[in-house]
Amino acid sequence: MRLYLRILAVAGCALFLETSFAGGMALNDRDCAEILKQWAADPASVPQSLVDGCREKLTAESLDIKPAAGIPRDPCADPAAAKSIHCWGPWANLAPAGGGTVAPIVLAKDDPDLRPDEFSTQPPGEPVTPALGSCTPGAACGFATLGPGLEAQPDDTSGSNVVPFDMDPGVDHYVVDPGGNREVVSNDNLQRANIPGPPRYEGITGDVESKLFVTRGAPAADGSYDRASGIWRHGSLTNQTQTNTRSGVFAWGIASTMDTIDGLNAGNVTATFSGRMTGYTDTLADITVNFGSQPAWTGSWQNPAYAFAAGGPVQGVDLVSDPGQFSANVNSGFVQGVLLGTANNPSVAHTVDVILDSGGNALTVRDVGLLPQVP
Amino acid sequence: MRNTTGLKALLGLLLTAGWSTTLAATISLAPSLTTVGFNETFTVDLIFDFTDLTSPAYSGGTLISFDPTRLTFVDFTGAAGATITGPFLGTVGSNSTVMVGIGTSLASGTLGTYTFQSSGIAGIADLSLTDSNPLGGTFLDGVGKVFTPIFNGTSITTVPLPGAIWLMLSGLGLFGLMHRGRT
Repeated sequence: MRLYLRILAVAGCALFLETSFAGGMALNDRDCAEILKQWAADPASVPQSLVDGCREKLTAESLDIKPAAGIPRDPCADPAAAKSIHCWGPWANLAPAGGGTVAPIVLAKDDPDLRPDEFSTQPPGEPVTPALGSCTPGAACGFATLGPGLEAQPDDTSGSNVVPFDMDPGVDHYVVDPGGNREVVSNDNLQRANIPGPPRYEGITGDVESKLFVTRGAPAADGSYDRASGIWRHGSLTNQTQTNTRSGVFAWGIASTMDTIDGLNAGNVTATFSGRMTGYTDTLADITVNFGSQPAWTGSWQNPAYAFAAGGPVQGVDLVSDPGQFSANVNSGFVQGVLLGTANNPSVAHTVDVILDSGGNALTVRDVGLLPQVP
Repeated sequence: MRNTTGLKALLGLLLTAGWSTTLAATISLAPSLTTVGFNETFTVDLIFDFTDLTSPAYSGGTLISFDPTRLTFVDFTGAAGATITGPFLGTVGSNSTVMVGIGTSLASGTLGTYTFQSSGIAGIADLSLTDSNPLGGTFLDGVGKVFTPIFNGTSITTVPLPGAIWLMLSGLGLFGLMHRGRT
């Protein structure tokens, strides 16, 4: 009797559950939890269809990732949008249509459909990390190109790079790419050579000579600089090869203080800086900085062979490029700058490292420039 | 990947002028005499030709090197229109050197004039001319571009004093007349 009642009870439950499911009754999570618990204890007591149904239900819910607050979902999730070429694959940044640009869209970092190399780690509104590191207000900061040999071309694909640059204001030594894997440390005994024209600094230690030309910038009475640009060279005296000599151009200065920046922002000042680049002097650069509550900058570079434009936010003393503000012919790269000097005598030292689309061919442009303020 | 060789060649042609120029620029030594007698003073002009360059306001350092047993440096005088620093005397190995810094806004001409004196050793005395810096590259044009001039030195041949030669020839001539007279 007991056995009969037990069988009847189990069969009844199974029938109820299957009917419920077959009848389309929506099983909630609690129902599924009980079903799966029963199945775990006695697999034969629960119809497999119920078990599979609950498994699918609970799995689908675990993959339904909600975006973090404030971050929009991928618009390409709309089935209608899936037909658009911009939605072939879920990209963090939509491909520009017809040469135009669209604002980047940030997807949740843990979205499983997102390509690992496409999601942004910078949620909107947060600072962008400058490619060559931030400059410290009130401290020396600069940029340089670095290439093999003594006549390194800024765009030499055989080894030219843009890197940070530091220099002693009295020019007794300099360091290219300080702490980096391409670091070049000059001799620390540089002295000014007695030659007319742009100041030249030279120092020899053993078989190695370091040189630095200041082609823009004037020393103070004590021989020190607060901003300068020019050429640097370093390498063997007796065996000058492409591997044991290095050279490039640099743009450097003492960054503005935050008091200076705050004052400019409070006054909603617009400052324009213009001049020729240091490496390719045929290139005319113009940068306009709009100070205010959300300081930003725009810039253009004009060369007989190419031209491009960029823009982005001002973060502290750093000018950082926003990929969304590059002109359409910029395939990749960055522009970075630093505000130098005081409010009544500012300058901008900056570097460009971009790859342009030039008539279907890729053109690498790497250079630095020290731009004075213009009226 | 697209072939960018042609583009690079074109860009190299367009952009080279904005970096280090490969156009010809020369600095040469032009002596007043190529054959001098013992202990004779002579001059050597420092001549430049930068007419291929496009940014007047050139500056750089020159270095003359010579054997001090054959030549003695006396003086250097800058030419009109040239900015000169030095001369600065030194040595490189067994040679003596004279470094002169120059600056000019002209395209060509004479930067200055050296004065030397020969010694009492007959033979050839070389005057080599180089960039004042062992690593080269002290020359800049008006837009701050490094350029490398072609440096042309010179040689001076030192022979016994002309006066001694004439004295010898005169003596030979007198001897000849005397011999003719006897015959």
